[in-house]
Amino acid sequence: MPKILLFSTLREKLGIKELQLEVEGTVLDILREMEKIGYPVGDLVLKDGKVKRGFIILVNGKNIVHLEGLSTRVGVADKVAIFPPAGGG
Amino acid sequence: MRYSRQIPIVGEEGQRRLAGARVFVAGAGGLGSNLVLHLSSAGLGHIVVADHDVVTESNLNRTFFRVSDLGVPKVEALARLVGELNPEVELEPLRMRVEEVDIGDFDLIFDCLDNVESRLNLESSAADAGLDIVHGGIEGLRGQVAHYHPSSYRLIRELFTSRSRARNPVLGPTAMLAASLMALEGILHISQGRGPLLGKMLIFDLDTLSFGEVDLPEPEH
Repeated sequence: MPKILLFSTLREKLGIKELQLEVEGTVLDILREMEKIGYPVGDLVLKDGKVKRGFIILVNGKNIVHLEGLSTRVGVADKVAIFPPAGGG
Repeated sequence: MRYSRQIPIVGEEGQRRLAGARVFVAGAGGLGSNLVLHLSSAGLGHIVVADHDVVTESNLNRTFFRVSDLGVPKVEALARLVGELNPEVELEPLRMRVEEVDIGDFDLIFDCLDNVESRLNLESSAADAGLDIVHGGIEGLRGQVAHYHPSSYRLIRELFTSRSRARNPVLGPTAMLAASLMALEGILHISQGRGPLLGKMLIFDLDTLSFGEVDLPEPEH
């Protein structure tokens, strides 16, 4: 079962740190499943199919922007991390 | 003795390793300046720090720079502070852009930069030199700290897909916490050979006091 790791404001908004889902599929499938079971993450995906500005989605440490975007496959042993990276120093 | 309270943690040999170590700190802002002070207090022998900016009033909320440092190059102000804090430390201040520094003979690189372009350049140079990076990034009350091998994994490329640069708000404790974690990683890595963050990224949000880790991809052999 893929593990979804949430950080920062998402933890507060959804009230969870992580969850494991029964479904496999794409990143978009994962987000849709989260919506279905009561975790409102729909606003992470914009109408043009991109991830909301300021947030990134990593699958096993790789940004989906460099993979297949929201169509990136997520397998049973994969870890998906969603958070807003901080760029200042 | 100066290090008597930390030798039970790092060991006599570990303390000698710290004294003999040479690290590069890229950036002397909220992260870099606080990091250098931590490393200096711990007795890290040789610190090279590069930054081309001068101290401004807006730096004072998250650094130990003083009013008398205003207008002084950050690296020079830092050299003065370190000289008073621990004269045993050799601090080499480089008032230049990180891109101009020859990344060569270092035990560890600390990425304390504030823009993606420079971070990418540093990551690339460290990868070519086969050196580890301890990365820090802060914004508001949030931040992340990681320790990785850029020769096998490019963290900056994964974290930042846009190269836009903005003056982000930041609170002093955010910078100081991230700098403390970076220092901890460096001190344990050099003295013990076991950085607890190696291959991981710690993500924190002080607004909700939440902390969590992401495993970074392991080097491919």
